[in-house]
Amino acid sequence: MKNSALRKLAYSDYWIQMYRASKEHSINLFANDSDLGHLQIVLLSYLSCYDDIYNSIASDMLDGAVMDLDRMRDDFLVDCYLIYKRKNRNKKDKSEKPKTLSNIPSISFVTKKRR
Amino acid sequence: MSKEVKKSKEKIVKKLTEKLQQLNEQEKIEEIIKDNKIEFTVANKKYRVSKPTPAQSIAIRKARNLEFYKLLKDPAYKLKEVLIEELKEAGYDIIAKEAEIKEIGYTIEDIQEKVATIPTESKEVIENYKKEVEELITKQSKISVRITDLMEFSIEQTLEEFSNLYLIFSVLEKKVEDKWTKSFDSYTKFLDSDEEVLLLEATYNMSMLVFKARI
Repeated sequence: MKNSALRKLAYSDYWIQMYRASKEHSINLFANDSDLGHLQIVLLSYLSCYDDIYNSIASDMLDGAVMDLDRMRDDFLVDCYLIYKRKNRNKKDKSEKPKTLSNIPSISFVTKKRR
Repeated sequence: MSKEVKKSKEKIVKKLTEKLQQLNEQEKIEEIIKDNKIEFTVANKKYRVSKPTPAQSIAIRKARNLEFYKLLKDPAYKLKEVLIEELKEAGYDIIAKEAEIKEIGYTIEDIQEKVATIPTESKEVIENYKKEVEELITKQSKISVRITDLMEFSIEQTLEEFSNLYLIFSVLEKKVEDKWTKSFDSYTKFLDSDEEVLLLEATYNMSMLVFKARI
């Protein structure tokens, strides 16, 4: 499995720092500040992803998964980590789901009436 | 679409796939990513492609609509749903095959979920899972390629190819005395062009900007 060149950019120090600066100080990452191209959109989504992984490693919020700077260089292992996180989040969401369908009063009323 | 145009288009797509697979140069991508324009040189002439402007997008959509009505009246092409039904009668169930692709996807995710918790020291175990995933991806790709082959003459697929070519025709420019001008006056001239290298380069660079290639 070949590692992607675009992902290599996304976890590089330069692009991660630029991405963080763009979020905090509204610095433009690209020459065009609107109407982004496909490649730019993909890079942004990877940047967001890798930034999140860096933060999770730093704050030790890996929820049982194994992830470190070495593993980040392997696209396959990063994909595994992302799938694990997503599935874990879905499981948590399901277990924390409220018994009523919604908190909107009218819907709660209908649900109660049916009982 | 004439047989010659189709043949040369197939060649371009094949070469493009090969070229995309070779792409692994960080600097090249970084250069592309800074704006929405890509300049390239073919036979010592400068060309460029860029993301279409709103006006160009409208023109492409209009051309696409006209092509759609043309294809709809052409008995050589069929709508996706009709083709799927006929293929099922002939013994190939596209819907079942698509479900198989999805199922393989779930299996891959299950393996990936497992690997996420395996310590880095267990290299061999991780490698084995990696190989298993690679094999599953190959299996998925084979089914996907077969589906694409069979759906090639559906109106939708033909329209997609037309749109991609029309997009390249619309945004391809050449530099003449320091000024950028359209490379081809008309879509017919673009299709009739025998500048295969130029079309390949333009398609490849365009794919970096708008098409969904795996990079």
